Amino acid sequence: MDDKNSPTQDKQEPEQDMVVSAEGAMSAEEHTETAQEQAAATPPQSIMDVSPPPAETAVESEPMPDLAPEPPSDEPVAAPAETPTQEAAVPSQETPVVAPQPDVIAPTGADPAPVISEAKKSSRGLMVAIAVILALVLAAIAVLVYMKSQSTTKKEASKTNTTAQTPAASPVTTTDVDTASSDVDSAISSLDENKDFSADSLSDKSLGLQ
Amino acid sequence: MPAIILTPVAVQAVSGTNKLPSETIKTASAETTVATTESEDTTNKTTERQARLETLKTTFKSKIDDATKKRVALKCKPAQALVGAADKVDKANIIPRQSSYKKIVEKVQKLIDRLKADGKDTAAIEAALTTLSQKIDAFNADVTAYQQTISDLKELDCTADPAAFQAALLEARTQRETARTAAIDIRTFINSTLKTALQAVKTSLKTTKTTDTGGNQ
Repeated sequence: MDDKNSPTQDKQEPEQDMVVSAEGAMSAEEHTETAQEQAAATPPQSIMDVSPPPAETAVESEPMPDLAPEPPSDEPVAAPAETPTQEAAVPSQETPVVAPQPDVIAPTGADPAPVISEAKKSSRGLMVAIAVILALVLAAIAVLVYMKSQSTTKKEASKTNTTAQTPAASPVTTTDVDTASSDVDSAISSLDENKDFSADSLSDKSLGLQ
Repeated sequence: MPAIILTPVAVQAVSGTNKLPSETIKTASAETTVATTESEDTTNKTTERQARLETLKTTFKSKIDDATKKRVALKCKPAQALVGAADKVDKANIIPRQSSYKKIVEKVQKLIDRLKADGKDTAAIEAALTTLSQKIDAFNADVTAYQQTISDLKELDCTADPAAFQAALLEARTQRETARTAAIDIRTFINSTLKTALQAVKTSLKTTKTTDTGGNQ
């Protein structure tokens, strides 16, 4: 304890020097004030120690006793590294006890707020993912529609080209007439009326009616 | 209450289908309607066939004596099976023939279209094609009538009405000969008139080509 108090005393020594240089009585009051300040500074730490920390703070506070000797605090119980800074950020001296409590409770009861924030984050992530998927789907649809329109236009263009080129490409020649005549000949020569419509198939003899 | 709630499930389980009773009734009524329509069609076909056969009996009354009726009544059942076989052979021959006629008409029509596009005179070949199409239509009508008579010949009760069988057989023979004559007429027309028209077109093209060549020289 002496080793721990010595740094604080080293910090208070310049103040005592200033008080001693002005008035002796004031120096005692300043000592009391400093004591009060120390008392005001220490009670939150003591409250921190008294209040039952949650499991998380308890777990966090376990390594702190090793680090406790390093800061110039009087008490060995180490507070979380964040709480001293928060206390230092609160300059109020009259409400030393009330002010730290929310700061202390906030991390201890930290379950609702992070859960809500995580839920918000996850919902935002879902929204972003849905938006991205919708954008991709719309883009794919647009590409498909564009491809289809291009293919149909190409087909129509090719059709119009073929219909336009067919009559202009081939004037009728004697060869075309010969070809048509030979096609007609081959078609009609492959048929045999006497065989296809022979009278024998329906005769009394073939039907067994004699 | 549970029994009331489970009642539809039990009904469905018993019916073995997922259809509601009303849907089952609708399906059954639809099937009944289809069956009724089919029976009506069958009845109508039978009535129409009977009418055709009565007409044929009147037409061939003089050619069907009592001896023929007795002979036909004894042997017509196996003959009906043979008529069915002949019908299959006829269809196997007639369908390609009709397809060949159609190809000839299409081929000549394409040539006419091209000649028209070139500004040639196509009156003669168009007239020939029109006549050919009419002859083909007549042939198709003869074939349809012949196949109808063959169908009647296969379906009728020849034992109960041998006169109708004999009359239908005589009519089928006549129609078959008519179809053969129509087919021969088509062949003759193609070989004479149509090919002559094609030759005239060829000659006109040669003349035009010679004129153009002479004009250029």
